Amino acid sequence: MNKIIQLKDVKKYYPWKNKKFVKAVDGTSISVNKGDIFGLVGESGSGKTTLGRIMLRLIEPTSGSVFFEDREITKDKKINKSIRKKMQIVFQDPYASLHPRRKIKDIIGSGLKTHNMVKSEHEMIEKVENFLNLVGMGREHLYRYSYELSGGQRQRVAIARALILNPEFVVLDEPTSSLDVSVQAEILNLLMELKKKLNLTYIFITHDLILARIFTEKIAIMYLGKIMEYGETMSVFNKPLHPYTEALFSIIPRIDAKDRSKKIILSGEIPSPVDPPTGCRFHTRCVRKLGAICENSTPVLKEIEDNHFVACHLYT
Amino acid sequence: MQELLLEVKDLEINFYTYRGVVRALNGVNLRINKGEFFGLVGETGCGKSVTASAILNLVQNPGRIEKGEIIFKGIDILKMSKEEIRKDIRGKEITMIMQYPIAALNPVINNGEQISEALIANIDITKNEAEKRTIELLKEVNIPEPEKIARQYPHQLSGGMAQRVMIAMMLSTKPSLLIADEPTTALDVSIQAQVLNLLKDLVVKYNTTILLITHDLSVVAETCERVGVMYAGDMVEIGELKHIIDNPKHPYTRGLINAIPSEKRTKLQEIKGSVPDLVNPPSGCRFHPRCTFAKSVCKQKKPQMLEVEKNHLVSCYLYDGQK
Amino acid sequence: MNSNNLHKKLDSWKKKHSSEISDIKESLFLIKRSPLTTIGLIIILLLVCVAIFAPIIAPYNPLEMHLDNRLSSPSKEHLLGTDELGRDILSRIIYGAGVALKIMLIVLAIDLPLGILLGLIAGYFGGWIDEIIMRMADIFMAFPRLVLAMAIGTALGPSLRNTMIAIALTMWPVYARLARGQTLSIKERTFIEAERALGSSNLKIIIFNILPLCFSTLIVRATLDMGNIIRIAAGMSFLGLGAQPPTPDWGLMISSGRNFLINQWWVPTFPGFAILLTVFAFNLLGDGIRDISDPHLRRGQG
Repeated sequence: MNKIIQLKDVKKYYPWKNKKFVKAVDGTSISVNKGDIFGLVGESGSGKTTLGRIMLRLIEPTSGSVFFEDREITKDKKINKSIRKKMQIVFQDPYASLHPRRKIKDIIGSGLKTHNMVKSEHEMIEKVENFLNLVGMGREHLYRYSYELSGGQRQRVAIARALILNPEFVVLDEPTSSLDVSVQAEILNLLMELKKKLNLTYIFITHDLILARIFTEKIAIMYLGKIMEYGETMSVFNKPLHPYTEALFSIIPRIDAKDRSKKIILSGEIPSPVDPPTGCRFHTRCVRKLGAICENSTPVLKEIEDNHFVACHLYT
Repeated sequence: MQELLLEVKDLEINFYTYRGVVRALNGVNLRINKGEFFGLVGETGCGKSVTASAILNLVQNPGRIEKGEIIFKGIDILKMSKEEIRKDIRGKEITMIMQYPIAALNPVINNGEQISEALIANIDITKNEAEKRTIELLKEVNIPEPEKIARQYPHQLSGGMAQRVMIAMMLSTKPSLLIADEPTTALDVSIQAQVLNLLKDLVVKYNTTILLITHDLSVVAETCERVGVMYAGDMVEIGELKHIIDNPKHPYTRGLINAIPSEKRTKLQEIKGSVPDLVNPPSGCRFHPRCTFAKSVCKQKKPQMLEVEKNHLVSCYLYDGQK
Repeated sequence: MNSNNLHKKLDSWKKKHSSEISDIKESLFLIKRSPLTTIGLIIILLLVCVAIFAPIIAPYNPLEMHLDNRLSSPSKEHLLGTDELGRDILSRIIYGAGVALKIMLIVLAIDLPLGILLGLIAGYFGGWIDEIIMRMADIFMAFPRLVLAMAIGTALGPSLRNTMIAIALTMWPVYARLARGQTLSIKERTFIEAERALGSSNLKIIIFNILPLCFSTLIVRATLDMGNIIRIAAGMSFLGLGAQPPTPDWGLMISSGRNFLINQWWVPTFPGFAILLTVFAFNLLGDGIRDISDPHLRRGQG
């Protein structure tokens, strides 16, 4: 298989008070195949967003390495411009990710100028217009400001901005979580259509398991900076192995009563990533906790079934 | 026989902005019974939050209530003086929790005092009793170690914990109606599940009436008994939860349900077009430009609410003349 | 044919700039809605006109002395009377408007770019460069502004030019600190991260993304300061550090007229009123502009 991005034992610690660290990502390895949609799922503090940024080297990892295609990009002092172009990102909140005082043409065209992909303003506008069309908008928006657009339109602009550099790999960081449901449908359908058209690879970061189930091929469930379960989306959904995954599945609000199973309501709060629980990080909330072993030793990811990994003492 | 608690009649609200008059609510009708868990659903700009602020008479400049009545326990709130509402209704009879509880709590007063102050202000109670009652309230909203939380300040709380403190505070006056405006939108799934469970408990255990306002139909589906669906300032459909979910009548409700991700789908249904600008709302039924069933009559006149089955009202010409 | 072309060009220009046009229209609408701002704006516009057209409006030459007509009280010939050298006070006030506005504009023309530049650098890069710039700013801010301006003015020697330099030196830290604060918060926002993800250089991020956003805050602050600058300049002239006789400067006029306050009250009083009115108008406008630039007031959610 052709791997487009690989993370090897990546850690990201942020300094905190009293010489402590926020362990946002704590030893994570992932590899993503070309053409896949890879889901990173988790609640806040799980490290999914940090991990997405590390892949793009928007955040420097504390340790570990990131490979893009076969090149270790964390080795370079500064990310190579030609690689920067190939990796793009669409942010969660289109109200925050578009500059409030620049015109849409400049927002989308900014990257073109940086990478010398156009020779003149005229050529830039032409190209921006093509990409506006691609995301279902028209030239009438070229000279608008972002505040004149609706949430859905803004996210389309953000998508056009990411795609205009012809990337191969796009991180979608909760691309629809701040949009209305009907708009969410539009944006996700558009993203899937574009993936096919432009041969993209997606990392799809989300807290919504159902979206992950619909759109991803592989999925990693994260909790407090660690991957709890990892595998083909279908097998993870058909047979969730980790108690956390199981609980998450059960508590998603579902519209259809027939889809609901008995809820496993996790008690307590998500612990702070500054002082994460020892051993298995989930043991403080786990309903199937075995005992001392969960508190004392950290379970490692093990392949339980074909391509289906889980980090839990229940399976050792 | 169910007892009527709140009735919103033909409520019309406009906002006078530079761009023009935003016709935010276009004659909304709503009835909430005592002890009910009622869900008000709609997307951004549909008017659900404006309805809530009207119920508390908190519509502010440049918004203006043009028409309508809000009858709470037999009295029209809109006819009461500001002073009366502040003293007798808001924060006492009707309370509200919001999306960002930490912003709503006073940052320089500890959590316990916030609640006991609310108690002392509204009920004839001594300081000692108020403090005791505060701890009880915190227990009621399932806060572990209530004494510790009471001593902490709002910024030390997680989102879920702050929402519980807020709920405890809003329950302190034993309100007849609790309005919850997107109470779990900012929370994680696992915490959302806890808070929704708590709200459900409140209805069952303490017979509180809750008006839940949310954009998320699946949250409503998990909790409420009756649902109202709003679109662009209109109430398009009201009915019991199972009617709305299993047998939605209004084309917008159907679209909304189909747009919600579910395991069974491989593709999400879109609703064609976009939400109209309420400065120039579409004539007649405001949904007609996006509706696949639109007829010529839809453009001319706003459809009346029709009862298609018991307690299931729809505002759509598709069902006109069926009965 | 030609006019047709012109129309087309105008139309396409209008289309491209429709957002700006509606922005300006909205600002005017909001100004109109606030009567105090409108009053401030009208007074300032009048003042600007008076300054520009002083030679036309002024009934007399402001420097022309008539020693036979010293200290005459307000009359038909001299609406506001004459001063100790028989110069027409009204004419001197009219010409003084230009002096006051000139001082203000030059000070801002020095301070705004300087402050923005230093603030952007300090805020964006942080570290030692931030330390150096901000500690320098602290030194300047440690003294009361008028006292510092006087000290610098005295050191440089009394003249109008030195007054402007002195005031400019005391004001730049305000803008630098403001620009730095803005930069610090703006650089953490997502659209800056988005720009980084596109591979944009620091320079590009600062110029195209941060600067335009700092600008509006600084302009608001500058409008609020306009009155202050005029007041300080008048104060320095009053103390003899600023404009030198016979310049028709308001501060100077009060200074030389103060001996006559009891018996010929009009000599120092009318220039005093001019200062009061001008500072007041600038403060009204400044407050108004601060309010209308508040995004919560604009595009209120319906």
